[in-house]
Amino acid sequence: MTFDFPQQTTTTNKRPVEPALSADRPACAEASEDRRNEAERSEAEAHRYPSEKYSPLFISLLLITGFLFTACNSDTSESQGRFEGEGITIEDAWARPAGEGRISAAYFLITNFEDEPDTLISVQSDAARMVEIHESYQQEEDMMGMREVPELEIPANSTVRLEQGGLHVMLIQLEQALTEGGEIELVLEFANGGEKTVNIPVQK
Amino acid sequence: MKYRFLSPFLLILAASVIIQSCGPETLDDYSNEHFELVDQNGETVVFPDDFEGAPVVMGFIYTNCPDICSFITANVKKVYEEADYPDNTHYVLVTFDPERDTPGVLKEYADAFGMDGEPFRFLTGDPETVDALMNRVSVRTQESFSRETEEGERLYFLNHSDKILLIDSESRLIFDYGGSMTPVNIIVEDLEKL
Repeated sequence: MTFDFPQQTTTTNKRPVEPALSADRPACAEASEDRRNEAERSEAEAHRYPSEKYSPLFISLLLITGFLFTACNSDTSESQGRFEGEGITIEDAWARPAGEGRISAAYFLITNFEDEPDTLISVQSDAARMVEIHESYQQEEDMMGMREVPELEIPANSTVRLEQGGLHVMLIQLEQALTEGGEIELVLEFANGGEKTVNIPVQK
Repeated sequence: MKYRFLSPFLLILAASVIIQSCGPETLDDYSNEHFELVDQNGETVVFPDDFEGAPVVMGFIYTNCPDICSFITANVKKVYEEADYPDNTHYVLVTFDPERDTPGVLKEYADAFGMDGEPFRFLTGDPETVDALMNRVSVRTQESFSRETEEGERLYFLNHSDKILLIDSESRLIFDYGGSMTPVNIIVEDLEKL
């Protein structure tokens, strides 16, 4: 199964930087605005996918090198439980620390290597009494909202990011405190891919 | 002939006017306000009186919000970590959900972020005072949805303003940021100007 780096995802993390001054500003403040725009561009650059920054030839070389490296180190890949090269993979997972009975959030990347879309139907965990997929979004100027996402589609040959300020898994009413360095187990159920169990670290 | 001596003076005057107009402008002035709040240790804090004399980085949160509000909280901590003179500044997070965010809850929340201690203050208060403060600083909230817990309690979530303010040592609002959106280095650079 081949996989091209995704050109787009459903992430909503990147949003425009609010002007630091909402009132009318003097013309000489343009330099400050330029600096903000530059910072925003740098921020955006940092979140761009490799396919947007590098030539196809460079990416191909990287993929081939990565494939050869993976093939020669299959034990490592298996022990990490990811990058099977087909089906659904979960990467870069982490959860935020929080006290017992409180609320935390978990983040990760879901990659669908298949040629058919899949759907994340549910997430379960013994770490919390309620586990739901939610999405933070900009409701209107300077107002942020949060809504439940009953099901999350993972398009074919694509990665969907659950990350700060966008999609995330809500862990509501934690059964015990999540402390940095700890770990929790999540069970993700996909319509086609079945269940995926991942152990994710708790970190700040 | 006498105008020759006047030219340098006019140049200096023009330069000072330009420099002054390029400096941070005041968006609001809180110096006449008086909000009696309480911090995560149960100690009374009066805003802005108790913060006068040093700049304030102030974010607005509620602890049942693990995503955006955690982002805002972490950003305030990053400003402290990246500032050149962090000890000359107050770092404050104020809840807009005082019914649930008691001092004890805020203390636990602060501890989860490694922020339970100087120079960080997490503030709550009686609902009327907190509402008045939120109105004054233009922080808006509205309930988005709720869940019923196994114990039959209603667990609600809020849509809310996403805001970090930079207030100068004379309690004047100088910068108003999207709390989760603004790169921390911009806030740090602006803080250095105060």
